[in-house]
Amino acid sequence: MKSATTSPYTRDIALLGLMFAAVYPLAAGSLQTVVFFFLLWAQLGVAWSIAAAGARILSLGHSAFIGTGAYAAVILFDQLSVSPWLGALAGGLVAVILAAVFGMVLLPLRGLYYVLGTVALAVSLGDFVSGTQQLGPIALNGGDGVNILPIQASFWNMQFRTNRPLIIIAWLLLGVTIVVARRVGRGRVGLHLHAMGDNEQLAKALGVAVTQKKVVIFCVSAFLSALGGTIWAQYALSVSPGGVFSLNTALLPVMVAAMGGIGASVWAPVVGSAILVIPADYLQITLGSRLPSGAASAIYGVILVVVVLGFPKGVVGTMLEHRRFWSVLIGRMRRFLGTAEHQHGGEIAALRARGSYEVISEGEGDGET
Amino acid sequence: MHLLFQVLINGAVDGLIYSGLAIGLVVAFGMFDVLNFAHGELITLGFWLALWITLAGLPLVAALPISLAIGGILGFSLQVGVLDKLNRMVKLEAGAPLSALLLTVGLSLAISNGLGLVFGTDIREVQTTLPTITIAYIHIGGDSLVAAGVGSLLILGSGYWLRSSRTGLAILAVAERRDMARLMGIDDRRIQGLAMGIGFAITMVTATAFAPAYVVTGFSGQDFLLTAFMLTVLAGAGAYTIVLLGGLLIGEAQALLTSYLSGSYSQLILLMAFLMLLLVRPTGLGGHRERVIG
Repeated sequence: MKSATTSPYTRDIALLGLMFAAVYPLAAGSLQTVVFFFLLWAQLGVAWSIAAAGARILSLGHSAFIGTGAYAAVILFDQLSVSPWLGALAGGLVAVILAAVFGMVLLPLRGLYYVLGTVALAVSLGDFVSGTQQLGPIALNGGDGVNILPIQASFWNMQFRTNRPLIIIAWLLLGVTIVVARRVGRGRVGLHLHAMGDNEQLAKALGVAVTQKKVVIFCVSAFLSALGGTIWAQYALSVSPGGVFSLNTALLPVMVAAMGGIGASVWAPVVGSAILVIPADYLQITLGSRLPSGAASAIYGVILVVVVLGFPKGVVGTMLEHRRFWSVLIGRMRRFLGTAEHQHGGEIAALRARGSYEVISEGEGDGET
Repeated sequence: MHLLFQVLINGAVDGLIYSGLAIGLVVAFGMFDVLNFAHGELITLGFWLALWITLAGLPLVAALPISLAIGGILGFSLQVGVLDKLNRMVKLEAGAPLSALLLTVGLSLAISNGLGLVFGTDIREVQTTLPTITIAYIHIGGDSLVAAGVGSLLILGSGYWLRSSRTGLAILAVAERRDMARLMGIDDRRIQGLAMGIGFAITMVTATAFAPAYVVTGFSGQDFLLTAFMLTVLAGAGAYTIVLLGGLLIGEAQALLTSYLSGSYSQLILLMAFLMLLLVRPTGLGGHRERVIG
């Protein structure tokens, strides 16, 4: 958007570098955890958005893939001493198989019914894991989960003396995910997906293999989510169904992505993660002992309600649409409370603030970056 | 043989309770495509209401009409006061369900964790339990029986009302073709709010009646969210009374699986059976019609 000559990939990589330079020096002491989870949830949000942005697949079951990635790497490492680097790929593969099987059943369903199907998948898988002590030769330990055996700190074991290398790994994974998301969004596949998201019947009539394309993109998203799950487990040094398979884990990528604005930009989930994850985790860590449990989740809830009412298209989505977003926020609040004169109160307030009535924004610029 | 009868009776009672607890979601999602993630919190509120009323020394029966009224007001005001305005702000067909979904997720997190923050996270129980009824060696919990009865009778009654009164027919018309119903002069917003109120009221009153047989925490209502989701999909778009059949099906399947198999496998088998059913009948048990999207 700034200049026609730089490719978006160059800009993405430059932005990633800038973000790293801004964030990495902060990663000291207890703030390390905040920085790590900011990067992790940004990555999981971008991975979720790959399915949601173009094809508009609203999955509320990505915890199934995140959990699979986490569990696969930990179990392979503990029982067969397989490096988590290979375990991550194995977990990703299992997640892809899960996504393919369930995608083929759920994605052709009419309307929004598949959404409930994805919830059922995630919750059932979590219930199964937390109720199973021993699955064949694999010890799952039910609800207690599995701990990673601390062996020797080495790159190959993905275990380090400090948390900093894992922060770098999370950042690199975020970079890879953003580039994949950019690649999917542009080009032929992205156009097909957008056509499907906008009008599925029409896309079908034009010869797009809708279900097949949806399943493929669902698998890509699942694979990247599983990789995120693996590094989560490496950071926490343990996995439990209450953590990786919970409904909260399924919902957080959705919240992060929507907070930024679904389809607004590849980078939107990163902004969403900064708004949502950083304050809640920071409060939890600094006041953790004084705050009762559940306070962080309650904060998530309140932030979510405020942002949904203030920025219905996400923060990035609304900002891209209206540069003067504060006057828009006030306008939207007034319209929501019923005090604005008529339906376009918000936009007109924004235009008035900008001092021009020439450009009339209809607020329909969906998905344009 | 006698054990089998006991299991079947338990499954039937549980299934009817599930239907009662799910009907608010069946109306919200099955009829109007509102993905309400705060449905579990509605059940939780029903539980807490039972707790507060009985702690105040009143009988649980007194809580039922209060619960019905509060549920109705909550459903109507959530739809007309919040979700409807949100939909008109977003104005995007594809964005609208997601905004409502996120808003209700936020409400769900705030309510469930907020209850824990304010009242503590101890597990509480409603003390006034009804005696267990024993007929021919088969035991039925009194509270569960009352909850199943209240829920299913209200569903049957309101289902009859939907098909026989003018207002009820208006609700069905809006659920089927909103734009067409509006052209016929139906105030679709208030009608949808009314329908949501009815669904929420039945869910909440069932929860209140069921409270003595369950535990009361900030999160205990969420235990029924998955079943409610499954039931909504099972019943199909626009279905109402048929949810009782779906509830019986899920209740019996669960009862049989958990008593003859290890608990964790039964959950997985239930999911598989559910997906198989969706493959065979993608529109659910009751949904015949093609749903017009967009």
